[in-house]
Amino acid sequence: MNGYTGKLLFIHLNTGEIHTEELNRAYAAAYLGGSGLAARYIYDWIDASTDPLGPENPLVFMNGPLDAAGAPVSGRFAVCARSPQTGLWGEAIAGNFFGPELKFAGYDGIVIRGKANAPCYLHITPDGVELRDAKHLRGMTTYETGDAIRAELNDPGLVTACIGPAGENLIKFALILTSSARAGAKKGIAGRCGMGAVMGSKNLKAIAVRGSKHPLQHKVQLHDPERFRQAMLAAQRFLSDDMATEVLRAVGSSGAMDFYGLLGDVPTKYWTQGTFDYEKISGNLMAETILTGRATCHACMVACGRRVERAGEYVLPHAEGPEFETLAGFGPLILNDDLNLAAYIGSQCDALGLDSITTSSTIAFAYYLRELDILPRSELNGGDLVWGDGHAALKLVQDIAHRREFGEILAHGSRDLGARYGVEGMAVQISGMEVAMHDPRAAAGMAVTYATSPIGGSHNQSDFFMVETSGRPIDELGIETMDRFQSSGKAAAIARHQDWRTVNNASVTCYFPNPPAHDICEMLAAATGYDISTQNILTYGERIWNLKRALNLKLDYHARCAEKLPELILRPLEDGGTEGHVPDFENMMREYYAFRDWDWETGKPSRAKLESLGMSEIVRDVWDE
Amino acid sequence: MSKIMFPSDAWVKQLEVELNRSEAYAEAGKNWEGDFYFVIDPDKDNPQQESTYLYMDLWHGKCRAAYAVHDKSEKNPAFVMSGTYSKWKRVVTAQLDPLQGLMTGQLKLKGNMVMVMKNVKAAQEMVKACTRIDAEFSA
Repeated sequence: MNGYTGKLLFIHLNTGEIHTEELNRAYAAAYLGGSGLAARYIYDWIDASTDPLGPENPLVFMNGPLDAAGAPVSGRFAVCARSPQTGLWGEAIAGNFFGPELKFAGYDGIVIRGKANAPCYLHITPDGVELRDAKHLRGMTTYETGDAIRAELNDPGLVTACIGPAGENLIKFALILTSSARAGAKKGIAGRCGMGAVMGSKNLKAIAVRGSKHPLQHKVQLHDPERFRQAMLAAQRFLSDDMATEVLRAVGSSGAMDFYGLLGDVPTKYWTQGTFDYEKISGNLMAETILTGRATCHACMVACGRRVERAGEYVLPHAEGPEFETLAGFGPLILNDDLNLAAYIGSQCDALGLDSITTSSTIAFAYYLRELDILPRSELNGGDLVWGDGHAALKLVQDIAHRREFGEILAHGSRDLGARYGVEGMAVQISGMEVAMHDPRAAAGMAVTYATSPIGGSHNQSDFFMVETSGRPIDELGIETMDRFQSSGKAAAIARHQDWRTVNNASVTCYFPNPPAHDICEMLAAATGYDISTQNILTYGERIWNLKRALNLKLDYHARCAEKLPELILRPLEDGGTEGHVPDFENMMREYYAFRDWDWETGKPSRAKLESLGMSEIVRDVWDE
Repeated sequence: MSKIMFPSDAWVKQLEVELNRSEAYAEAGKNWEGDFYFVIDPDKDNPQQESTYLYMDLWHGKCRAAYAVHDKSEKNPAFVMSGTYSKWKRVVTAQLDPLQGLMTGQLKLKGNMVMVMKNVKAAQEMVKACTRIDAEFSA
């Protein structure tokens, strides 16, 4: 099966049974891999009665057809399940070396079912798969867990995917962190949707995987190796001369902080202020002060990873520095301008196993409610929350992970925090997912992107702000740039961009390096033998996007209740780069629904749309036939 | 007052004047250190046969010198920003943000990327100064 190993690994934690199954060829041909293929499998296995933290919720790790083939944009994997954070479809895409290593070990993915009686971890090599006792790893951080496993198995080449205390404590926005001991390796963060909590609910502390020590023995067969090589070389040539590659390597994702700050794109003082000294918290300052090196994922030409041994008085675990979202969340969002402290708080989120976006956003919401005196000081165990005080945020991160004191309240996320005080509408979240650090008032398309995302308020389903603020069109796919404040007439470009990024999440390729779409299509076609080109690639994305919508409907998703922008985002800001703009949300959504051919009242894709995408079996479920 | 042809020695000297009278640029560029070649390459919209090199010595919010260079080996500036005539025309008429131009490959830059990313507001003020020049374009 070209481009795939053709095998899925099934782990039954109730019984300890381990077996493999052949990959479903029809599913792979229609949904490619990564979160697309995982969604198709999971669609068959769960419904509205599935408890996200119950043993019946399958946790699926899935790599993609470009993993381990040397493609310069590949090297990632998806981890998917019903999300305990939103109750909806959950997916998180991460880098490091886990996806390719799993493929070198002989598997396209892992399906984990049930719950172990005691903490355990999974050890995978080409020679065998075993479940091992993990009681001695309980309470360890993500990094400590990976290092301990590498040490006890005396195998520094193991790549690990671990949860920290937050995952063990079932914090519903717990992450899974991948790490390896190889020099220059960047961490991988499967951050969103609480996949770490699902893993914790199964008593699974870690997965340690080692590909073959002789990779050529387990080399994945490609359909047309020479065609693949030509496309790969073309992509490499493009990326080696691409300014975005150079910028990300030099200053990381947070190097854009100053620029986005000028545009009003960085949420500040919990989305209520438009100005801040963004340069004090940016990747540019990091590059001039605390940066000690750069790090990469598998086959990467960008090296956006930031190595930071020390940030002032703080020592960062594994010398892993922060990226944009983390610095924005623990910087401007709480008015903290101490770069060293923000970097350290972010590192503690990673180590303890908390998604830094949801964590920082929930903490910032608490600051905001405290300022309004909606949150009484008496709740804070003698402390207080004052804008700019990063040390209070650091303590809350630690308290959330361990469900201590006020951290137990925050461990439920911002929607529940707002509900506790009767102000749920103030929480900047969609479907229980805290909105990422790009403001729709600065880039109007993000309003629809966030609202229609299958996982809630995420930028990992489409980074359309890059089209709007950085002027990065994808002409080959009909995705053109428009004025960033413009609301009308954007629906087609937004939908196409979502479809394209959905292909990225299926294939599983990174958003940061952007070679021509033609090159990625060529690599996919040459790897798999599928008929893929720029002419039809968006159909793959659209099919997967509609599948995730259908799955959410199966999970009792109510579009008209869920697809709302938080009220703070609809308030114009008097200062800063948004210039008083707010998106014309209702009209944008109606345009979007018309383009998608979705029913406005129910949120359902039309029969004709699903049929045109070859989804007859899904039509029956969606339309109760 | 007659229009000033872009690109030319007269145009870049006028830009020097506009920058040095701009309080906004003085503030935004107060941390900038480094001289530039702005390289305007010919394309189908430009009748020139050769690239034009405009030199600017920018230092802490001021422009210390600006002139067209006939021999590019005359200077060895810290930064070289290049693009075709039609792309530069869009930049100096504020139709293309210079950072967007770089990120989308419409312009190329050699030099310290950290310094550039730290000073995006200075770049924007420079574009505003460009738009205040009554420029003439060949196409």
